[in-house]
Amino acid sequence: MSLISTVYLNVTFYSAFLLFSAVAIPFMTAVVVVLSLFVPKRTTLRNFRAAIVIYGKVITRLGYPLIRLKTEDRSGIDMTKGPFIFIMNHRSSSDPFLVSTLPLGAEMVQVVNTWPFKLPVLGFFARLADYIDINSISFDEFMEQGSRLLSQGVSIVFFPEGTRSGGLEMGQFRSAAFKLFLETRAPIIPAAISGNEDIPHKGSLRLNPGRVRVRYLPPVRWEDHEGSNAYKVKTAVRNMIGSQLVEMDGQT
Amino acid sequence: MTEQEIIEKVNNVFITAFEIDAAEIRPEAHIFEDLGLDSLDIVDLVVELQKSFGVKIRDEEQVREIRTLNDIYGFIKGVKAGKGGS
Repeated sequence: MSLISTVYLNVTFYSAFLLFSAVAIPFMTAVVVVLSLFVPKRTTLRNFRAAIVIYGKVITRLGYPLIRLKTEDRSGIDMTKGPFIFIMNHRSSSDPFLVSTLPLGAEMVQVVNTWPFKLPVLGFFARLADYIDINSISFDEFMEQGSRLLSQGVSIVFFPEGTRSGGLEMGQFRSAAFKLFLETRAPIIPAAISGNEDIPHKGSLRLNPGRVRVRYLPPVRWEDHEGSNAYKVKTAVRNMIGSQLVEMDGQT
Repeated sequence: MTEQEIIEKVNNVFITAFEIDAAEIRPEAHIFEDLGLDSLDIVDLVVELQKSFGVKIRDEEQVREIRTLNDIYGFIKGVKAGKGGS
């Protein structure tokens, strides 16, 4: 039964994924391009990023009911009133899609490794949306780009482990996001992602049935870390996410 | 300054400035893999070491080679002896 479910899930998901992408990407691009003739460039970019989130929201629902996705907003704030620095744990290649669990009005870009930029179509759009390729720029360039985006009201999503853990454990966090936090004072919203470690498992494209949960946590504010260093902030945020994951993994 | 004093002072930097549990502070502890520092944290570490020991650390090449706490003890010993800093 479970093998049949898995085969069914993968056939239906990837068929729908390709079909939807083939229709939605050109359509949404056309809408944004047409709108760009009538609105300022900044609004066009905002619309474009919103289109990416809408695309992600649909993609993350294509596996239903074999993959169930639940968003738990425990941030206690309006996440559309950014900018924020979102910090998420990273278990699977599905994580960048799960960022679409953010509310639609939360304009954001992701900080990613070089490889997503090499993906056909999606990489092109990531570049257009100003996603940050952390491996191809210097730290100073990163700080400049990150500060500029935050000053424009654009939130930034980080997976500070840098690479997928592939399991329930969480890797060490890198400090770049937390240096940006201390420099810009934009609040951090930690988020714990649980249940997608096999959707798909690291090194595989095979999706497995399961329940995925994304839990947004209360913000970490600069005022509480004034005079601190990036290491201490990242340790605090990692501990926040880690304690949530212990609880969430026990329930999934 | 004795070697033991250097060790205690370096350990104290990790405990106070980085809030690392004293139980994790072992000479063989790898500062990246075991303690979770990265290259950006090294900048903060150098600042804290400079403050704590009242020295100026200049030899970036030598700093880049640091991997364990033991390496730091040796490095600071060298700096105090006039190598890699002032």
